[in-house]
Formats: sequence, C-alpha cells, structure tokens
Amino acid sequence: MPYNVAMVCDFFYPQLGGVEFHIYHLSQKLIKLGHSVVVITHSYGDRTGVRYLSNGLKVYYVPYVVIYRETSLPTVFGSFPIVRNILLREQIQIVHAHVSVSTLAHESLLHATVMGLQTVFTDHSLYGFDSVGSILVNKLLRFTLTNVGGAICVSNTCKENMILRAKLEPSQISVIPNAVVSENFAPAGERRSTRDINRPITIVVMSRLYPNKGADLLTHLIPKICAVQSNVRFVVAGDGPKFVDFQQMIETHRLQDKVELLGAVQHEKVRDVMCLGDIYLHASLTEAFGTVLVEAASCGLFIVSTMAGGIPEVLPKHMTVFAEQTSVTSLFNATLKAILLVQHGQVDTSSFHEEVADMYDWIDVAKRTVAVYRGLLNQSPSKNLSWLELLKNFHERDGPWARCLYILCLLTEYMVFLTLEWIYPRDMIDIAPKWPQNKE
Amino acid sequence: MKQPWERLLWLKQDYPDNYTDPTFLREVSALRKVQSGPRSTSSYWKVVKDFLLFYHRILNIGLMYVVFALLYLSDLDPIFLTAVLTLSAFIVALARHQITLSFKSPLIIMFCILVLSPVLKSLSQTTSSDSIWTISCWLTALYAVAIFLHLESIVSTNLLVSNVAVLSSRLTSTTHVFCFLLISIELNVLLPQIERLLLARELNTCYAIAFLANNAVVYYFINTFLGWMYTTIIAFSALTLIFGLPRYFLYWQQHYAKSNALLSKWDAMEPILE
Amino acid sequence: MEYVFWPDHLSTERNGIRQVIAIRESGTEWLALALLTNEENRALNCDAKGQKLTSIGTWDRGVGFRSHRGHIKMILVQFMPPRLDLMQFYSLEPISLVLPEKDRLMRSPADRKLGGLGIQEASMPNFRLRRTINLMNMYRKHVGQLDAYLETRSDPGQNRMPRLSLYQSTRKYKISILVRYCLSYLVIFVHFVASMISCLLSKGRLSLVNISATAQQIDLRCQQLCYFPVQYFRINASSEFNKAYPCSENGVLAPNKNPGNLRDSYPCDNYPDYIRFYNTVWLIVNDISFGYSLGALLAENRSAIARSLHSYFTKYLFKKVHCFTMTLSQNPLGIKLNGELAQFLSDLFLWIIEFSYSIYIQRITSVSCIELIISILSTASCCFGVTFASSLIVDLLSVLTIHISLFYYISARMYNWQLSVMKSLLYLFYGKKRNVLRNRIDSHLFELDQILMGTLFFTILVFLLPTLMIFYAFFTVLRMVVLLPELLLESVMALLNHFPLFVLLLRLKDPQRIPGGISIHPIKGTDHFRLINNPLTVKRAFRPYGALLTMMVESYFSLSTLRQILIGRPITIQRNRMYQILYSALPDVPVATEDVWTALNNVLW
Repeated sequence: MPYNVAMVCDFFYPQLGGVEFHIYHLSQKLIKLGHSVVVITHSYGDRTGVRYLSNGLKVYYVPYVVIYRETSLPTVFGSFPIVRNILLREQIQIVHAHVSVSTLAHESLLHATVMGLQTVFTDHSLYGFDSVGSILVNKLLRFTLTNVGGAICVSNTCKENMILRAKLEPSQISVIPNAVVSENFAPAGERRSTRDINRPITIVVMSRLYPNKGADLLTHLIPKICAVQSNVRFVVAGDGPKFVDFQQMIETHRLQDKVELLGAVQHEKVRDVMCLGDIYLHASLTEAFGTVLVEAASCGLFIVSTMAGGIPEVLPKHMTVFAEQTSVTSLFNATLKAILLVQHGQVDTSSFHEEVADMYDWIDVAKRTVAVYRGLLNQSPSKNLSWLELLKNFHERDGPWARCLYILCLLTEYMVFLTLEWIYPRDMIDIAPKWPQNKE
Repeated sequence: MKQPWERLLWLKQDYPDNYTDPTFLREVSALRKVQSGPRSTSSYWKVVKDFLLFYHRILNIGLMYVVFALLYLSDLDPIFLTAVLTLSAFIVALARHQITLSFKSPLIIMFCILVLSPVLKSLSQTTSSDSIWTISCWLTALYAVAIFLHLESIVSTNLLVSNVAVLSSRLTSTTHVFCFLLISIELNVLLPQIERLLLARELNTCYAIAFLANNAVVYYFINTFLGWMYTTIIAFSALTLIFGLPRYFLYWQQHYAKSNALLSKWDAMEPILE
Repeated sequence: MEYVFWPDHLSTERNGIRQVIAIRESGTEWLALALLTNEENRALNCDAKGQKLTSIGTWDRGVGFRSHRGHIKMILVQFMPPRLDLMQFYSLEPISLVLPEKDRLMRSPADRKLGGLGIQEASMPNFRLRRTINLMNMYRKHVGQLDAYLETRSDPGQNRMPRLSLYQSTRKYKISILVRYCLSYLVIFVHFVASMISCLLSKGRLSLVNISATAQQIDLRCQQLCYFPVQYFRINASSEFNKAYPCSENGVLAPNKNPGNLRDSYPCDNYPDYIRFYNTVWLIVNDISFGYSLGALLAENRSAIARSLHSYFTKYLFKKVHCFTMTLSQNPLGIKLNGELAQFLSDLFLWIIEFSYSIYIQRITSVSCIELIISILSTASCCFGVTFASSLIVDLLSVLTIHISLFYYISARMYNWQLSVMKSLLYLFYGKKRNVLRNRIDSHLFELDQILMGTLFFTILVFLLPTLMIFYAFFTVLRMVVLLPELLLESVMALLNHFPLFVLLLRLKDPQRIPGGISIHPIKGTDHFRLINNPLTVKRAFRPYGALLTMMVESYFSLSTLRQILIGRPITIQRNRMYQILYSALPDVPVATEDVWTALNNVLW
C-alpha cells in the first residue's frame, strides 16, 4: 500500500551536504518503491514556491526568514497555517522530519501530532550535553519528540545519544544507516593488485577544514609522516577556517611537492579526487556515521580513521586501520601501519567496491524506512493519540517548570488548530493531483 | 540459534531495525544513571590548592598597590627599589635558564617603557582622582576575573597595563612612572612565572617561603596604611576565600555542573597534539 | 495561423469587393498594402516584378476580410501606418536617448548581473515580430513602389493612395564655393580648439575636471561642440554619408562597423541623434537665457550681496571654526580627553585657520573683492549661461573651505592610522599576523616580550582614541555641512545641463515620435487585434537622473558610507563618476578632427 510522506527539513537542495543528499536519495527510492513523497523546506533566494525534481519529487519552498546558517526563524505557531495546508493538500499520512537543528522540522512535528498524523524523526548528528547550544537543542528535542511515532538514527552511537537527549524508549528508535550511490563512487580503472614498491603512496584527506574535523591533528600529523616516509604524497581537499594553517604547514616544512591543497571540491568531483589516492585518512573528532568513509572505501581506498562516534560501526575490519586515540602519535602509528600494508600489497582493495555496494544501498535504506512507516500506520488504533493523551504525555515528560510550558504550548497549538479548522476548513482545501507513477 | 547481535552497521543482521540488544540496554542504563545521578566531585584539598594559587595572584596585585602607595604617599626613592627588584629578577633568570627571556628583550622592553613613560603619565591626566581610583578598582576586579577564568594571558596583561597607565597619571614624575610600570610588570608577570616554576619543579618549601613573604609584605603595608581594622577584615575574607569557597564550589559541582567523562562521549574529542 | 498587419485606412475602402495585396519578406508576417481591383491585380500578377506582392484575400466593406488561403486561419492586426517623414515609427525597444555604449551605466546592479550571463539586447535574435515591425515602418515606401509600378502599367484616374516618398529629398544647398570653404575651415578650427581644451582639462594624472567644477563645465561645452558636427551630419547629410558612416555604436565615425547589428534595423537610425542634438541646443539656449536674468539680478544687488556675504563668510569660515576648535581642546561637553594630544591637535588646526585666513580668506572675503567677484560672475552668467556661473561659485566655495577639508583629511588620516595599528595589535594578541606577501592572516607564536610591547602600545592607543575620535567626528560633520551646498549647486547644474527638455516636449506634441515599445490589444467583438505604440515613459526619459540619484544615495547616504566614515576613509566628491552617467549623450572620446575633416569634404564636395 503506497504511503504519502512529507519530508520536512530546513536543509535541502540547492544547498548541498550530507543531510540534503540523504533526503533526496531516500525520497527518490521511496518514489521508486511506489510511495508519494513531497519535501517541505524554506525558500532559498528566489527559489520560492513549488518545484519538481526528477521523478516527480515535489518540493515546497516555503518563504521563511532565515536567521542563521540556513535555519529558519523559529515561530512555533507561525508556520502552522501553511504546513497544515500543504499536509492536507497532499493527503499526507506520515511527516518525516530531519535534523535536530532545523526549526521547520520541529515545528512541523508538533503540527503533525496535533493534526493526528504519524511522525518520524531522523537525526543525523551527535550532540554533547554541556554546551549552551546543545542544551537548548536537547530541550527543544525533548519537547517536540514527546509524541513522536518513531525515530531513526544513522548509527548505534547516534541511537545512544538520542535516547539520552530526547528520553525516548529504545524500541522507538530504529537504526538505519546512510548509504552511497555506489555507481558514483567506482574505483579508478587500472587495478593495483601487483603494485610497484617504488611508486609513491597517495593519501587523500577530504573534509571541511574545521577544528572539530581534526584539522589541527592533520597539520601536525602530515609533516611527521612526510619526515619518516619519503615515498608518500598527500592530497588535501576541502576548505574552511583552518585552510591557512595547512598552507602555513606546507610552507614551514617545505612540503610543496608532497602535499597538494585542492580547496573546496564540487560534489561530482569527489570521486575523481578519491581515486587519486591509495589511502584515505580521516581525523574527525566527532562523527555520527561518516558517509565519506563509505565513499572512500567504495572508491577502493584503504581507510585510516579515528574511532570518534559511530565510525567503528561503519566498515569491516579488513578495510580499516583505527587510531585508538585522537592523538597525533596514535594516528601516526595507524597511518604508518596502513602505508606498510599497502606498500607490501597485503591489502586487496579491489573487492572493496562490490562489498560496499552490497552493504550500503539506498533502496535497502528506503525499504527499512518503509518498514518503520508501516509499523506506525498498522499499530492498533488504541495507540492513536487523542489530544488529552498528548497532554498527558507532555505532563509526564520533564521537570515541573518545563511541564507547564509544554502544556501551555500544546494548548495554544490546539487552539490555533481549531481556529484554522474553523476559518479555513479542510474541505475548502484543494487536493493536489499525484505525479503519475510509472509502473514497471 | 540466532547469531548474537553485534554493534555493526555494515553487517546484515537478522534483527529488526529497532531491536535493542541487552548489552546495548545495559550501557544505556548506565549512562542514564550517570545523567540523572549526582556527579562525582573533586577532592576538597585539590580545590583548596587551586583557590590558594588564585589567592596568590591576588596577593601579587596587592603588592603592586603597595608599591603604588609607597610611591604616591611617601617620598620613597623609586630608583633604589626598582634596581633591587630588577637585579634580583635578572639573577633569578640567570640562575634558571629555563626562563625564556634572554638579555636583549628585557633591555628593549625597559627602554621602550622609558620612552613611553611620559606618554603614560599624561594619558589620563585630565581625569579627576576619584574617577581614577574607581577605574583602577574596576580594572583590578576585571583582572582578577580574567585570572580566575584562565582567560588568555593577553587579556589580563592588557588589563594590568591599563591599570598601571591609569594609576601613573597620579604619580609625580616620569621617573616614578617608569619605575612603577617596571615593578608592576616584574611583580605581576615575572613573579607568577617564577612561582609557577617553583611549583612545577616541586620546590614546595621555596614556594611556601615566597607565599609567606608575599603575605607578610602585603599585610604589613595594609596595617600601616589602613590600620588593624581593615587588616582583620581583609585577612578574614582571604581565609573565607581559601577555605570556605571550595566547600561551596564542591556543592555546586555536585548539584549543577554538567560535565562528566561519560557524558562528554559525544562531544568532539580533544585533539592531543603533543 | 498567420497574421495580417492591416493599416487602418484600408478599412474605409467602400467600393465593392477588392483584392487585398500584401507583402511578405522572409521571416515576417503579412503586411497588407493596398486594395486593388481585379484588373489591377491581374496586371500585377503577370509581371515578374510583383513576386513579393501577393493577393491574399478579398475585402468587402460589409463582409470584411476573406482569405484566399482557406486552410490557414488569418488574423488581422490593425495599426496606424507610421509616417517616417514625420519621424514616426514603431519599435520594440524604447528609443534610446543615451548612446548605446553608455547604456550599461544606467542599469541597476541586478541588470548588470544578467548582462554578465550573456542575456543582452544586442545578442537577441531577429525574431519574427521585430522583422515585421521593420516592414511596417517601411509601409509607405512599399505603397509608393506599388503605386509607381501601377502608374506605369495602367491609365491614371483610378482611386488610389496618394504617392508618398520615404526619404526627404536630400538638401543640396547651392552655396558659393568661398562660403563653403570658410564654413568648413571655421568648423574645423572650432572643433580643433574645443577638442584641445577638452583634452587638456581631462588628461593627466591630476585632471582638472575632477577637481574643479568650472573645468568640468568648460569640458562639457567643448565636448558638445566637438560632437555637434557629427550629429549634424548624421541628421542632415545625404544618404551616401549614412552609408559610408553608419551611426556607429562607438560614437566614432568608423566606417561599416558592426554590420547586421540590431540598431541597423531601424529605418530611422538618426532619430535619436536628432533628438539628442536638438535637446543639447535647446538646453544651451535655455542656459544662456537663464544666465541673462541671473546676471542682471546679481549686477543690480551687487553691493548688498557683497556686504552680507562678507559678514557671513567671516563669521562662519573663521570665527565659528576658530571658536569650536578652541573648545575641543578644553574637554568639550565634559568629556575628559587626553590634554596633551587635544592641545596639540587644536593648536595645529588653529594655526592652519589663522594662516589660511590671513593669507587668502581675509582678502577674498573683503567687500570690494566680493563685489568684483560678483561682477565677474554676472558677466560670465550673461555670456556663458547660468551653469557656468554656478560652477564658478562651487569652485570658489571649495577654495574658501580648503582649511576645513584639510582638517578633515588630517583627522581622518590619523584616525584611520590609529585604527589600523590597533587592528594589527589585536591580531598580535590572538597570535595572528597579517602576511602581506600572501595577503592572508597567518598564525604565529609571539614571544612574551613582543606581547608585552604590543600591550603597552595598545593601552596607550586605547586611551588616545577618544580624543582623536572627537576631533574626527567634529570635522566630519563640518565637512558634510560644507559639502551640502556644493552638492546642491552641482545637482542644479546637472539638471540644467542634461534635462530631457526636447523629449518631454516631443512627447506632448507627437508621442509617435518617441516610441517606447508596442502593445497589442484584442478588439472587442472580433478576433482582430490592434497594435498600439506606447510612447516613452517619463521615467525612462529621466533614466540618467534615476541612475545618478541611486549613485548619489549609494555614495553619500548608504551604510557603506557610514562604514567608510567609521573606519576613517575620507569621502570625496567623485565628479568623474557622477558625470560619466550624465554624459550619456556624448561619446567618451571626442571625435578626431581628421575624421570630421574627411566627413566635411565628403559632404560638401
């Protein structure tokens, strides 16, 4: 039975990034499985209104004010009229929100629960507990996820994190990893099963050069490795505030002919850059899943990585060398080990691509997501939440002050809902025609 | 017999996606306990020691005010005092080669101060004395806060020099300004460094002597300039700072502080650069 | 489906059924030319010459148009045939009142971005409507040819359209050779002198045009003089001249440049030139007549003006400034400044004030001198127009306020210098330094002594900043106050120099002559359409002013200006930028004298 799903997130095309690609690929595969998907996001520049992407993926670019890094202004109730209109117009059954820093996602979760729709929330990243920002986000999450039907996390670490942050039952959270389009990350043509021991080994680093991506580790690590191993080249792709530090590192240690700084790389060129190398080096200090590792492995690279976050869960042992600590020494040893392994041909990377393609596939992700939807829609009607039930849930949720605030919010929301039902009743809203499915 | 669940994403396992393994559950409940339960606390004496160090820095500021009072109120010849302090600073620096100051840079700094002291003296000349005392008081408070919060040393140094610049305008001659600035830098930049060095090399006796001497000088002058009433009050508040505040700090840490080794599992890890 | 463009007057034909003769060129729609009797039509058809002309249907007053080509639906679009001899025509784009190459200056930034993407007028395809409109503009020529043809074929006396010729017969004056020689030598001489003067004024590193309004005004008049012959030739000269020197895109008489360009498709290339030429002439006459009245006014009230000006100037240029500068050194408004620095600065400025006062201000502002200046002004105003007089006033004002500008520049420089030093010290505190060679911010580990020195300097600068800031703020305000009347006068000058007077009058007289595009409306009750000429909008006529206004707002009243002021960058009048926009009816480089000479030779002989 096909479902009508609305993906809600502040981040979507034309912005490019992990979350954006996740939503896009998941939606495409859901459409392929015969479901109907719309995406709701805020407007980007003059990209306002309704657009269609390939295969009839309908995108609503809602004109909202963007405050910070493409996050829209939180209005709590302000988005209700238009979100309700879209949800009714598209006959949505399931609202699937993404990313815990997206205000639009939170607000529409609240609206959807009040409208009696099923809700799913996917989180893509890890959050701490002691910075002001993360405390705020956690409070918000705890509020909006009170009545969420199900949550999806991209790794088991992410699940742990989510359980603690949002106080959800573990059984409510499914772990469904990201995937890669493995055709886009094919290894370079020539196979290197018998490698010339004198050919230099190229190590690829591809990340935004931010402190939390381990840029400082890298600037200390690269000169050390170059000092020990003369037969190693580095290719560093990505841009960010630490770019200058990399330039300085190259100049101080005179590594101009050993380290190549590429700057920002377009998404479609990622594969080409990956294929320049033999080893992929990942020094990130925090990571929920690490899609880039999967991409690198799919390109046939041997992986050296820290063990931050969910990274240890992502790839099997024979593809990776882990550094136990996020220290320069530990990473140094791991990299040297990897270099020696590759130099002596002790790892066979030729099968990586097929293995990764088997492990991570978007159609698989989509099927597992549909299983979550099905579970929600098929659950016994007694679990369908009346608004008193919602109120009760909020009441049991948090400390005495937060409790009052939650209930106040819900009551207001419910009043807004009733007002909307009255001045703009459901039967006055046109139903949007569905994109014709091509049945194969 | 089912394969046991493994915490791996790449492995296709015969479990539903929302399956929660008992091991996983155990870990999570341990974490939950950590999250809701009381936090582990640091030992009382360790905190006292931290507060003691902070108090020592404040004493250094006190020394600076003592010097100022000497220069401002009594007709002390500043050159003698400065020469003695500078010489001893050099001797200590020669004795301990670890101090990164060579001979050249102190000389440059000194000449620079010498050249700039007339300017420093005139900077806030037009401001009335009451305003100067107030500004100086605020700057000192900010300085203490900066030290307490371990802000970058540059902020505290800036506050210190501003304080000196403000106070300099009340001194009688350029020589006084020069000497006062030099002494202030020695007392508040070099002295703490030496003391830290003593602690780091575990020369605790030396450190204790320095600490006691510092105390003695400051309290002696407080007593001379302000009388025993003030001395008592200040001494009492110092004792409260050293021994009372740590108690409260521990209480606060137990009940309100959020940081915990287990919970910081998801923060970005600290890069160890060596 | 095909369209037939149908002149209005054909519908008034009432003598029974007639054949509709229409013309169609490649890539155009049908244009109905005339209604002919069957005999005439037959006569036309049997001749090879009428191959472009076809009978496409019949017209009957009662029934209307009936097509011969039954399988294709034909839709009439009615229009009023333009009279090219009266300079009426249709155009898709608004007629350009500025030179084509200056068009980009008028565009808003967003438009410019579009231009960067390659969406430009010049690259637009010659699509069907455009060609059809060109054909329509030539309506009377085609009718004339048809008539001439029929006249030779058949006997006269038929009911027929009057014959119309497209081009005015070229005027060949029968002037004596001597006068021609004198005239051409005079033109060449004037042109040469004018271009020399303009060249002198605007060339060089420190071009006078940028500094002085008078030079600017002289330069404008010279450039206009240089351009007059060219424009005159374009408007009045024979068609040979037009062929040899088509209205070029670059304003220079380059033969046959840009063939096949869009603008060539105008049947009436020189109309914009005609408008521009007469606009300039009118404005000059206007200017001089205003100048007479102003000159007379000034001359009459000379002594009274001189006396009041004397007192005003002494009061505001010397006494008040002196007094304020004194105040600044003595803790103004109770703000405690650094005494020494304030004293130094105020002494410096007081010295400049006294010096400049005793050297020239005192002399210039004496009553007798002002009277002399006013009489000069009134004479200049009478001879060269009011703009010349006002430009003299602007220059005089800027000379009289040199000391204020000087204060402003000095204080802005010091302030800016101090800010930049503090900025680099802040970098030092953050462990960063500016790498001048690579133009980036490097991280760097500073030694303790370096940081200490930096701290010392930083503290001193922080304490000195308020003093400099007060001085800077005061003189900035003063400078703004001085700039205001200058800007006002310059705006009046701009208005007098570039007002689109002729265009506005044309719009009143005959809107068909200044087309601003077309619109096509359905006619109620039929499936016909009507094509209407939209006259140029007033907004479009004032486009250069709009652009100027936007630019002025951008450079004087915008956030970026405020930022400039805050970081101590001096703001100046950028005359050349301002006039680049207003000179939109003049080419950048005056036409070379040799070109004019050859052109003259071509025309007169």
